[in-house]
Amino acid sequence: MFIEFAYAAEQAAEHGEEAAEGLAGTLGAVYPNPADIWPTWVAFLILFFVLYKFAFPMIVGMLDKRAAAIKESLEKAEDTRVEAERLLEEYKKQVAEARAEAGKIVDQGRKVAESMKEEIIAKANEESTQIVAKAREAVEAEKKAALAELQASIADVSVAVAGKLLGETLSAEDHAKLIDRYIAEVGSLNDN
Amino acid sequence: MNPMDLLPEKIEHLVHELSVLPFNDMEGTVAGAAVLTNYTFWGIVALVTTILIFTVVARREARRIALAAETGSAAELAPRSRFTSMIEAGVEFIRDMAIDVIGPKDGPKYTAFLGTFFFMILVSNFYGLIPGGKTFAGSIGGTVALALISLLVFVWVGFAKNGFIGYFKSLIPSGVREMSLAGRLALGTYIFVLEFISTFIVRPLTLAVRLFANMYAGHIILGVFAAFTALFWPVLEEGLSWSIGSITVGAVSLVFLVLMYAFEVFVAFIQAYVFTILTAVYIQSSVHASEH
Repeated sequence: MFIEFAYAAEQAAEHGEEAAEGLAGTLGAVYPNPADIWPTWVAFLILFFVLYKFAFPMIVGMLDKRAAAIKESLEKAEDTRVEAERLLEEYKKQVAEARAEAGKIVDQGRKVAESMKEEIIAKANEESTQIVAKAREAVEAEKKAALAELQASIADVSVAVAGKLLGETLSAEDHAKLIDRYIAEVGSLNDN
Repeated sequence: MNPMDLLPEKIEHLVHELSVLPFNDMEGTVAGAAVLTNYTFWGIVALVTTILIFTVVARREARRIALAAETGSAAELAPRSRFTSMIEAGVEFIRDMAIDVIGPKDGPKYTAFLGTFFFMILVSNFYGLIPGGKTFAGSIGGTVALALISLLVFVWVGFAKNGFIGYFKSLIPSGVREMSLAGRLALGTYIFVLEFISTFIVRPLTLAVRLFANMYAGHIILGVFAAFTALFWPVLEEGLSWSIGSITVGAVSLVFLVLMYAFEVFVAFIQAYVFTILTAVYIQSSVHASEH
């Protein structure tokens, strides 16, 4: 097989020699052919011109602009995040303050209500005692008046009765004594 | 007929196909550079494709940048097309390479220059992978031409940055320059000769031969596996005798052909990359020559 390969290579070299007349003989494959050199130079220059003048500045510009835009967006996002956190903290503080304030107001209201309740109860108690006392006074006065009236009418009636019984025989002096004695008797009734 | 009898003919055909020939049997001499060769024809196809790709992408970018400036909306700068993103990634890759290798100050200037090497070789190598197609890098003439451009530019940068004398002086390490007169004469001359050969002859020669040999060898391997597949697969060539053994050889060759094809796609990238990064390294050594 190796012999066949060697033979093939030999034949190929001969064939190449025939096909490419003017080539450097069996060096065909490794001899730099001018027909390949100068077109490569021209191609390189054309491509370099296109890339250098137009394509690369545009693409690199895009990459740089995009990188800048991304950096800017990230920085902005960071700023926004910090600001949002600050606001959240502030709002939290405000809510806590408001809650404390509300608690204080409710406490105060409760205290006021409590004191008002006590005041009202006290007032009512006082008033009720006053009313009872007044009533008692009124009753006492009524009783006294009734007794006085009773004394007067009893004296009159007794005098009339006694006068009728004794007739006109009783002197003025005896009359007076009789009345006093009677009064004393009636008065002692009142003491019981 | 035994398939092995046809093998020499196939190999001969393959090598013939890969040699520099007048395109489409045109009249005229190839060595006299008067005609279009099979390699330059495909080189022109690759060049037109590359220019087309970059023109379309760059115009798209220009329109988007203008639109973004007009509307003031950064959303216009967001990537939209996958193809454009792919080209952008390629350009960014080259720019990062230039910055990494040559430096952040001088690097960006050489982006388009390095990009020309990279995309010219890469697109052409892809055409070389299309059956019937060729890459200009498969001809030593094409790679020598590129290597000479690389040499011209890195030497020119060396002169521009260090002066004519300064650049040659920089070939001798600073340690030698501080030695006694005898030392400078003896060791300095020796190192100068070595460095001179290494810089002006070995560098372009290796650039050219590495790229050419990789592409040429790759195509020979693909051709050999393709020939084996065709010969041992009785369906493909009429009048050939066949057996279980020959079909197995054909099947194995086909598997290897597919695997090698995939590998050659990788090589197409790698060789474009290697040529470009070496040119970048040579430019870097010229830019910073006096610092060594």
